[in-house]
Amino acid sequence: MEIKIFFARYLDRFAREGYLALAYALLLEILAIGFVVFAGLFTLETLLPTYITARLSLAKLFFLLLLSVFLLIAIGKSAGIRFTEKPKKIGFLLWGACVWGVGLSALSLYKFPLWSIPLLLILFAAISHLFWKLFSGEEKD
Amino acid sequence: MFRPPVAIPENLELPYIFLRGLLWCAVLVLGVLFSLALLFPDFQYNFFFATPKSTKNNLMNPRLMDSTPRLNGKIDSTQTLTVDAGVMGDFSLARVTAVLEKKSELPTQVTATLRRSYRAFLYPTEKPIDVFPREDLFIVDGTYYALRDGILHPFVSEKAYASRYPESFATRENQDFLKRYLVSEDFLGFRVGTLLSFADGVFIVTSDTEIRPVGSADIFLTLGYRFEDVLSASEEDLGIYKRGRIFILGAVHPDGTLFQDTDTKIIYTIENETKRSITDESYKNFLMEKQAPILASESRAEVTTSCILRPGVFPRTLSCKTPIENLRENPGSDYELTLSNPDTEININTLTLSLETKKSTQNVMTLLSQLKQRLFNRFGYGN
Repeated sequence: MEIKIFFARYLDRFAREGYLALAYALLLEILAIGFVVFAGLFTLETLLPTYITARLSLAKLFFLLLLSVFLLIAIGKSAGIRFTEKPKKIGFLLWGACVWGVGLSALSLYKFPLWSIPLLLILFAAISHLFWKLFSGEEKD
Repeated sequence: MFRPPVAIPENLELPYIFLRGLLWCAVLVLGVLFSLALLFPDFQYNFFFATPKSTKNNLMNPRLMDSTPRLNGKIDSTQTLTVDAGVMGDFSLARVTAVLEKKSELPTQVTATLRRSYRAFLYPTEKPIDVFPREDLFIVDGTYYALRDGILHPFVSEKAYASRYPESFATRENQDFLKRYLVSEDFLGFRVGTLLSFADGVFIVTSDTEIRPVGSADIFLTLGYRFEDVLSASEEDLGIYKRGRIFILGAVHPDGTLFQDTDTKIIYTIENETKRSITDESYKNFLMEKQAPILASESRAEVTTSCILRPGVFPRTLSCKTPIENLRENPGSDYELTLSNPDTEININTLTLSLETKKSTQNVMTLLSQLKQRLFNRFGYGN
């Protein structure tokens, strides 16, 4: 309990003095770079299987990125940083991510039997939707 | 440049800019290092003496000087420990590391020596083959037979026969001949050491009963073989063999493999872990018509490079590095690493040999060409 109070006191101080905001901004930048790098390596791995994974574990990298996301959320909460506004229009980044996703799916599905492609796409979309719901915390009213 | 949408207090603006600069420098350095690692990969070969039978051990055949297998890492000052690594690439530097057991004494130095050749070519030389080895051979209605201990053994195909003997060795007989002997149900196959192809695979005949598939075209070429020497085989031809483990880099060339010493032009064949020169001209010519020998060099196999393993920063760890430019041109797909002259008895837990790819334009071009080929293969446009 005392340890908790001790940390809470420090967190409060760091939040007041702006250090948490600074840590948050830096970690967010690291994450942005990390995800771009991950996307690049993942694309290379899809094109040339085992070329990257023979040298670097993409699963570990992704796990590290996920942990960093949780850390970022924790820092954001402590620092009182919240993004409540939803994006009003689809930005360049999102369009890029969509094109990348479609390209990667096309590469992955190359040479699959034709009948299985729609099935796989539907399953993929359903799982993505489920994860989106889980992570965004959206619920039916 | 991307800037996170977070308000930074004014007094922290300067440290923030500094930390961002540091972050981007780190990204740049890591990016360059990772790109270099992708373009010029280091290859690591290990032997874990605690688990000598582990498939993770890619340093092969640990042994003492008299070829006795050594499955523990103990060496005293009179002994040498030798291991082999099958390699593919163009390397400029070798790093040898030995991590000792906790209870091992710590030496002040151990000598590590490297040389390059083919493992099989380093076998001891035995007496030459001075006569074409032959047996009683017959041909009846297009089928070839060998008479062994009063039993006729049919060859699986004419190609199999032709890989071992010239046609003139077989005596032509009629059907009645077959009634005089028991005919074996077991077929004779190709000469051991023959290269066969079937469908997309290439196989090496490693014994009278076993063939082993070669891991890849790159491995096949690195082992010194030529595609021109591969015989196309039928399903029946291959059916008489059991399929052994995949033939990978570091595997020793099987019996029957032909080598030619480029210094003396002598042709050798591998037999029971020895190499024997072939002095019989007719036998030599017959074999060379079937398969070009793998080029090796006895004098260049004696060229070595060495360094002294010494304790470093890490506890119980000895290491050293040495340039291996002088071994680069030596024919061979295997590096032989020998540890000798420890000044006290040591007990190695893990032995590691790291090879650093030479940073040259030629290696970049080779890698890019391999990547292009892999990309084409991935989408079904390979040759």
